[in-house]
Amino acid sequence: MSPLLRTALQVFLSLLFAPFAWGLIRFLKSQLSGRSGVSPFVSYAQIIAGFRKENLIPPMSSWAFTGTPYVVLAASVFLVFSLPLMTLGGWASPFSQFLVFIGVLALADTFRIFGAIDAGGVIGGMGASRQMVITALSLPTLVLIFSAYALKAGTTTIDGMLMSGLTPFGQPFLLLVVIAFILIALAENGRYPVDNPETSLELTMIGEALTFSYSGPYLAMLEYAAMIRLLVFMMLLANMIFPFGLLLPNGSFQSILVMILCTLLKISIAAGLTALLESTIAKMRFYRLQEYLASAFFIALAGLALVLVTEQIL
Amino acid sequence: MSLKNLLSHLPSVVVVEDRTDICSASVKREHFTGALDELVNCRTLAKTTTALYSLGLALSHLYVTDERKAHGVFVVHALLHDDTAASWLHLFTELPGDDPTYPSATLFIMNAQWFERYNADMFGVIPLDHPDLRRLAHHANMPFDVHPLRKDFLQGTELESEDIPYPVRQVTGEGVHEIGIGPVHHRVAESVHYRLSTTGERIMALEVKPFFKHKGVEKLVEGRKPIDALPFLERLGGDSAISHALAFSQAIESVEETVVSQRSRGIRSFLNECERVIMHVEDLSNIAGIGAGYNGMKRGFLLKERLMTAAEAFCGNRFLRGLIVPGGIARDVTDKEVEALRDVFVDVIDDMTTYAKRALHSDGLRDRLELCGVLKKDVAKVYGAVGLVARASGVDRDVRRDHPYAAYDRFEPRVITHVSGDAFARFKLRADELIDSRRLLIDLSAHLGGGEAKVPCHPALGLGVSAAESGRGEMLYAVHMKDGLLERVAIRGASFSNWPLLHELIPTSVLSDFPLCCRSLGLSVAGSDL
Amino acid sequence: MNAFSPENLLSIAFLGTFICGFVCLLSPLRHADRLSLALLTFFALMGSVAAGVVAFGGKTALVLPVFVQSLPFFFHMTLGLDRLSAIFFVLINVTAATCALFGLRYLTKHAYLYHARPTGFHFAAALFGFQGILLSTTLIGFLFFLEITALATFFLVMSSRSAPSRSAAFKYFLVMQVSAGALLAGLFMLADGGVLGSFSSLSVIVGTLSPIRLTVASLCLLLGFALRSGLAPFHGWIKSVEEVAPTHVLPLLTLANILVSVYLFLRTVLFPLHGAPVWLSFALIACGLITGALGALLGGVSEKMKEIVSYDTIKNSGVMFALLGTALLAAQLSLSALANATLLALFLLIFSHTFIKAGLLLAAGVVTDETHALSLEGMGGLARRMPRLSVLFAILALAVVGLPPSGAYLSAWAFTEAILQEALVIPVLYGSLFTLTLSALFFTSGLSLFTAVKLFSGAFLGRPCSLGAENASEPANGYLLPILALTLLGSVTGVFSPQIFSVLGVGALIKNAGTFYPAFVFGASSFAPAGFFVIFLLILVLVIAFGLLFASTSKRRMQAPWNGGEPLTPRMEYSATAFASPLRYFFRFFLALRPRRVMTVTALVTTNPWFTSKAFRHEAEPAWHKALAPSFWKAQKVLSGVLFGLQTGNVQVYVAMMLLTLTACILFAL
Repeated sequence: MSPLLRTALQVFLSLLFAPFAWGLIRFLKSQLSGRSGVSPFVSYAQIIAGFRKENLIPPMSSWAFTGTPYVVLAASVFLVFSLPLMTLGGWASPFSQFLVFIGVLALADTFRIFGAIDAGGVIGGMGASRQMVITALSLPTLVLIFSAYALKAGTTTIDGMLMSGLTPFGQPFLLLVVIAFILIALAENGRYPVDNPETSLELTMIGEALTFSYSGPYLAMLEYAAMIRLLVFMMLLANMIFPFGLLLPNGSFQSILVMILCTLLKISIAAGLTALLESTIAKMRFYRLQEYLASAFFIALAGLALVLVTEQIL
Repeated sequence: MSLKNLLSHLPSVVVVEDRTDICSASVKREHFTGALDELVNCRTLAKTTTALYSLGLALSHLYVTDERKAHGVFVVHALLHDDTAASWLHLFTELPGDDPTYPSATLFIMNAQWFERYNADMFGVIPLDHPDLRRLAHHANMPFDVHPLRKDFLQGTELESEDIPYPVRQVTGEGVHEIGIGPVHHRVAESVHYRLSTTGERIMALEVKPFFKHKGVEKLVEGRKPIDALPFLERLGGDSAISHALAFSQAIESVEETVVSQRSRGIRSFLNECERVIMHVEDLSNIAGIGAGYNGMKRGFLLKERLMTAAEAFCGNRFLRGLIVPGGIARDVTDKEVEALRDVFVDVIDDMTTYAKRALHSDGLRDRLELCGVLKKDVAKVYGAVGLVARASGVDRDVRRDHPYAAYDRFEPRVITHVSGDAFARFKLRADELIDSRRLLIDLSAHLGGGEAKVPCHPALGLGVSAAESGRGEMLYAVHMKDGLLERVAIRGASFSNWPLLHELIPTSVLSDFPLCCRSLGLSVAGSDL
Repeated sequence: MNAFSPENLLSIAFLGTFICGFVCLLSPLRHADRLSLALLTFFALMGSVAAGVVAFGGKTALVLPVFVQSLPFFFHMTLGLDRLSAIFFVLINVTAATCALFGLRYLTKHAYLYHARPTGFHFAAALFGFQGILLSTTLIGFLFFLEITALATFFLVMSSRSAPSRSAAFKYFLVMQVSAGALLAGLFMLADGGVLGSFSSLSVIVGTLSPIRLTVASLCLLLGFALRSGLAPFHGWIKSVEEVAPTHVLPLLTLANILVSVYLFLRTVLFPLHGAPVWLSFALIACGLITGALGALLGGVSEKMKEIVSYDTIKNSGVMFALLGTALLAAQLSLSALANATLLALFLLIFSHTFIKAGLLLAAGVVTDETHALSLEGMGGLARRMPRLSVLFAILALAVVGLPPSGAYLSAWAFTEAILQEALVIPVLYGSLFTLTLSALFFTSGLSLFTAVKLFSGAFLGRPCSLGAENASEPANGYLLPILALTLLGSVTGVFSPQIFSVLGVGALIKNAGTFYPAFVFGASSFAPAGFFVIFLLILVLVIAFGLLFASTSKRRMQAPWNGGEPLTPRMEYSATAFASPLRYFFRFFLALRPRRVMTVTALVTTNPWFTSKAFRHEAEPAWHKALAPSFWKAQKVLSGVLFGLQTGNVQVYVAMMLLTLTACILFAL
């Protein structure tokens, strides 16, 4: 299959599966706390309904408020377009360099923050300040995480890293890297223990506060972007641990089926683990985040050091 | 030295009535504040009296009655705790109807501040030199100079709608901004407006304003028979029907010192414990929910639902209403019914204790709770904190032991105190009290005692005071009767004393701890917003 | 010889700049100051075109024949450009041209504050000096122009004649003189006393020097560079200068100084001095990283707009020197691929940073003027009032922190690629050092992303926080055009950097050089900024089309943010101070040395024992600050008062001062 076709398939499937992954976590969490919970497919309805609802615009806001949903959604789409989530060696694989990934994440976060502050409310600003600190301190860690991987794999594209076939079972450094990546992924997606994605307490919000003043189609776009971003992190993590079940350049049509099954399996496992985590641990005090983010940073640094040392001395 | 002896040292104080539970004394208005200062702060008395009173009495209530029709005066009443004698000191002073002013007690006593502001709103009684005489309970649409609790203000008067914004206190300076939360919340919560001043995550100042849904119950029940007033009072706070009814009934009984039967007292205590258990289960779930996650909260709510279903089977409604009446209980309940209710409660307490233990051993939750909203003992005392909140800070007070009512003289509760005064102490104390309630429930249901369910109780004239310990703390009722009707019911809900604590607790804590801190105090708006 | 040859144009531009200054000072025309600024714009552009021809045309040297003969009394210095100096010449001249254009309107509007004529003269003189530094090929010529620049810019700092400006000017003067002295001393030692020699002769002499002498010389040079480019702990002057000096000269005062010191470093240390001690590279890296982190952190917790911009300048200066140190270390270790890549990263950063930061400085000046507020707390909501400037400002703020595809991003990318490809083949000690440098740089970028977002959102988004912000309006085109030009230049040098650099002579690192989106390549990986830009734009357009298509059925309505039932007051907006509060808390240990506030609590009611027990007074000022600060400020005030006497415009005084400082420098050097 041609790379363009495979990339198109990946984009299509990612955009399709993202609300499901999001809804699945919510569903499993309800199940774990003894409730029947809403179906995982409700998140599709949630987005579609959003587009039909009234769009409230704060009178003080400017182009930043209006532009934010588009830029954030475009950034998320760019991620599923460029990263190896379901296929290796896709059309845009040269743009799967980790610095591009991090840069686009930073761009999306920046605009989310612009949108939150532009609404002129106090809750948005509070969420913005917290999200900004999390972004500012977690993106450098992401650089370290991928640097370690890149050193070992000999390439800076995430595509190439996955293609190198390294797994944490044979590579102790990758274990550290994966742990750090999990910590950062939780922080970047506003999950426990950093943020409670379902909170209704204004003063403890982070991610919810950023979309506090959005409604209707804009809110739907921002939520969709967050779902896609969650899927990107889930799939990246799953592929880092099990770089299998991906559509390869020489893939046949049967392998498409295998890929879809594997993807659904990966999503389910990741969603299950996230739900389990969110049901068992407490949300952290905001001021404890510095310890959390610092430990992620140092775990990633340890992974990097391990690569340097094992490659050169042993 | 007895209390009477002590009072004789104070200028112009005259003891007018001395009953076992209430000692009434009048004082001239210019000496009123001085006398309170002496009694509460022990300025010079400490030298002349024994150590017994050297710690001072606690001001529990400060309310006004309008007696202009009969005597042309407003009367300001102060109720002080006298724990050592298990009685109340009732100090009152008369203010001329055309000049209802007196020297403010807030100048000397911290917890007089909200009482005096409330009285100024409701009666137009002005405490002179009060440092902060903004309106407290009146809503923005209430015109100035309207005092609804005065007798000449008729129930149902149509008022012009004004728009007088509440002047929130502001912290000035570059970079300081305010966060306004409520009174309309986007979740199920009572109407409170919080105004936080901050330069970021740490809170510099807080102003809390809970009085958005004033119901006017005090006015509603005036001129009614006690039994007719009871349904209004039971519905003041949804989860505290028992303690309201109990405190009110006991106050009515205390007017003429009616003695009720052992059995009804046993059942009253039993019900009081049931209500405390429901409140504790809910608060524990809420705290765990905000602190940790919704998992623990939902399970706690499931347990609470079991309790309320059992309550419905027991008395026909989920809130235990309609059982306690002045003179005893409305109908005699069989031992079997009581045992059935007890079994459900004991079962739930066991489950909840398991959850609470698990929560207490969770590092994440402990980290959130410990050092969150620390209430120091001196703050608790000065602000007149009541109930569990005060006990978690080391104030050893429990109405059930200090003013034994119902069957608590036979079954003494274990009064547990903690010292740290943080949200963790309050959480743990709730769990500990659940275990003690379990013991009391079993003991009480086994020895309910005998006697009539209800004795006649129709007092004609006089003052009755009584308190009951709810899950939130002491619920205090002072009832003035006249011609067998209620002349004035002065209610001080537990939360009325605990709301101002937020002004001390919240500044210097961080924003994201704020909901947890509020929730750990277990404050109720409805119960204090009459 | 062609009359329009680069040589001639350059000579005319150089002389023209000189003449501009005197036109401004002495011409009887009423609008001589404006005429001079217009002329200056013209000459600076002309000079940059000529230098651009040199830089892009591959000519290695260009001597100005006129000057060789006409200036014999200046120690026979030769003036000329090679590719390296031409690049810097273009950067400084283009920036100066836009600044002069900006100044046309700025000085008219601020005639009450600045004396247009002396300011114009000093501006021209400073530019002349900077051009001279880049043109001179000998040590002495270079030092001579350094002094001209130092003096001219000193008077520029003092332009407003206010007390804070005098104090800042004094600080600036001290820094510049000590820096010049240190550089002079270092170069003297390296050149073995031969001040007339050219730079290229340095490398020959260096080989013969004793290690001790080399060490001392390196120390002197390090001090000189650190002072001039505002490395920690000498970063204070950048902040104080940017607060007081007229907006249109700010890029010249700070950016040109940093550019010149980077240029000098390349000229005197990096290329000829591979034999310099290794600790020099370590010291530079450490110094650069500390400065970078400090600048980013202090910028993050600061609320004044100009202060934030200047802290970002300090941060970038630190990053540049960290890159220089890495390049030097790589060269010393004979890792030529790494050295080249690091230099590429450095040049990418210099290109984009100069234009972007100049634009940001001018824009910050405009915003400060329009809102009459220094602090972000007095701004807010400007995006509705000045939409055009806000878009430019957003691009500038996001480009300066290195979001793709800006030049700063490419610089970080190139550096990362180079290090990740080399880290495993070099000794593990150096590999670790390089990767640590990398992580520290990204840590700094994270913080500066925070700063940039705070800067833009604090000033432009949300609701206006002051009357000034509420009444602000879109600035005039005279302000917008230079900022637009700088934004475009900054963006173009980012997005089309492969094209630019392939002409500049790093063709080996460029793939698909002829196509629309050529890419930088390192080993197996490549990055095409234009390609990224086009793809992202395409996706954005698709998303917008999608959004417009599906959202069209929904109704739009203006609705104030949720107020919870109580009216919103203007005070209910998250302030910029609050925005930085998590940062202040997380890095409280590093920020503990800052002077703090004194807090007094008095009892409202003295009779209430509880109230009285709460009264207290709290002083959190560090002891060292309390002890040292008063005497220091007093001394500075007195000295700057003395210097103020010089600001009368007397030519003799200028010359006397120049001689004095030169003598002082030489004495210090000897």
